[in-house]
Amino acid sequence: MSRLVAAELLKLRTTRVVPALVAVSVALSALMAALIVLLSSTSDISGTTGGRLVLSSGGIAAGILALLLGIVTTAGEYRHGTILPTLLTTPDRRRVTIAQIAANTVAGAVTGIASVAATLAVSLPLLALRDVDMSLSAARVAGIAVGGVTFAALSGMLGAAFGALVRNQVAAVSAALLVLFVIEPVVTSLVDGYQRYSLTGLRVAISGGAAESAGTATGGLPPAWLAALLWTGYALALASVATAVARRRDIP
Amino acid sequence: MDAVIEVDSLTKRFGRTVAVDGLSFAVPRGSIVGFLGPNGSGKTTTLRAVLGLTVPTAGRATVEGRPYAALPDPARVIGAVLDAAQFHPGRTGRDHLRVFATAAGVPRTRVDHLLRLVGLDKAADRRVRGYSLGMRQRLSLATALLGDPRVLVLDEPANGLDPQGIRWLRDFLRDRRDEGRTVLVSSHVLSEVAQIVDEVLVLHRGRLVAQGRVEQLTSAVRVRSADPPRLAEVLAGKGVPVTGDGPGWLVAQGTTAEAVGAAAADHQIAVYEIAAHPQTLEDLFLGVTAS
Repeated sequence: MSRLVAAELLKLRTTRVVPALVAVSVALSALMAALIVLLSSTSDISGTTGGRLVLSSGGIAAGILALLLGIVTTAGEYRHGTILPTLLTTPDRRRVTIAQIAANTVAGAVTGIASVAATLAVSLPLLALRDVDMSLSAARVAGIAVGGVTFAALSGMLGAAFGALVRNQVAAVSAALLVLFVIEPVVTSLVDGYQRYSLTGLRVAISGGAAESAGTATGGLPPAWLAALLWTGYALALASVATAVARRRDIP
Repeated sequence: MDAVIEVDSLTKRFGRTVAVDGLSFAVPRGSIVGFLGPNGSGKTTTLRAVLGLTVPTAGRATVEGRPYAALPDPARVIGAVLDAAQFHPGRTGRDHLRVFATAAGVPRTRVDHLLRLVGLDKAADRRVRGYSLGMRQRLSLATALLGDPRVLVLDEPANGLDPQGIRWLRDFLRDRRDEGRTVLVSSHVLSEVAQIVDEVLVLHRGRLVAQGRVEQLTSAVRVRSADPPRLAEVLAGKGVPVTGDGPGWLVAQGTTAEAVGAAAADHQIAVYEIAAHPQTLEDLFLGVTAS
């Protein structure tokens, strides 16, 4: 299995997609942190809620990009035909899917580390410059950073599972964006308590954001560990479906 | 026969289209077998079923007695070149091979060796999007050879190769056969395979219409006799396909001058002229796929 994961990691390292997405994620995280700190009123970004809003932004940006990376790389195997030599070398489709998920989890974590570091590097000096008191302990800040990296890693995992199931890059990316930015906000506003199980709610909970960021504070959010567990469960459920379906599918 | 690849009653349907229809054949070890047929005859579908990429509607295909998915180390058993894109355009040729060498547990030195073997060593660090069709075919072949497999399956391998490349490929495949390895090569361009194959399987509309050693399938006898209709009847009764070839002449296929002469003598039909008259692979192919 380690050979397979190493091969999948090598796939990720040997195209420009991963470095490009990491660079975009770092730039976006730094930009978002700067804009939030500089353009918000001090009352909006001070205190625990404001501090969590600022510091979790990098992890959330990294997570969304890691999700897209996971989709693009696994569905891209079918687009470019690299799934053929992959399955000729390793015909066990379940093992291939697991290796793809593991490699994209690592890629997500790397994206998360770089992006969270960029967010902290930009926001902390700017917050100090504006004399904003976040009322967050060092341990709390570290927790938000770890949550951001975890969220990005788990997003890479979910994206890889989703890409393996859908297999069409454009359809998979479009569906993911539709769910995240259209369907979930609408359902969250209509159904009380839905955000506790939604991708948006879990995203905010894992990355250390405030409940308000999930669209509604009603019902709150699950603790970060439970949110991470639920998110992993979603990814594994998708991966199981992808593997079960793949066994009966022809490879194009 | 020591069969390396066995296909048994294989059927594959795509909706209402029957791509492969109850196909059965075996590929003997240590031979080059041509898998021939017009476009759309089911060659690629059959090869994909052998390689575990297409799920059969019915029947089975095995490699060394096991379904492809059950091979413990497939890269060392069978290598395949498929007539389809299989590269990320942004990855270099060397990195492409490194990825699959890693997955197969093949040392990196083999990657360099194969790049030299297929003549891509100078282009190895260029991205595949800049490769010509012929270079991609060579890279496919290098990928198939990573595990130094005992069996090679090649689907239209000469596509995009220049004349030197085709010559190189022929020599390479002969060398593999001489080492005791097995090659199953599909093509619809007969001149590519006619010079190297030991046996052929001819597919038409998903069914096997001819199978056997090339010299056996292409052997024929041209005979002029005193009573062509009666001789034709005698030969047909022995299962020998016979066609007319001008006044007084017959061509008997898949047989020898000795057998035709003996049949004529048994029935006291005078023979005036008789000679071996072998067909080309093209004649055979066009004959069995004419409908």
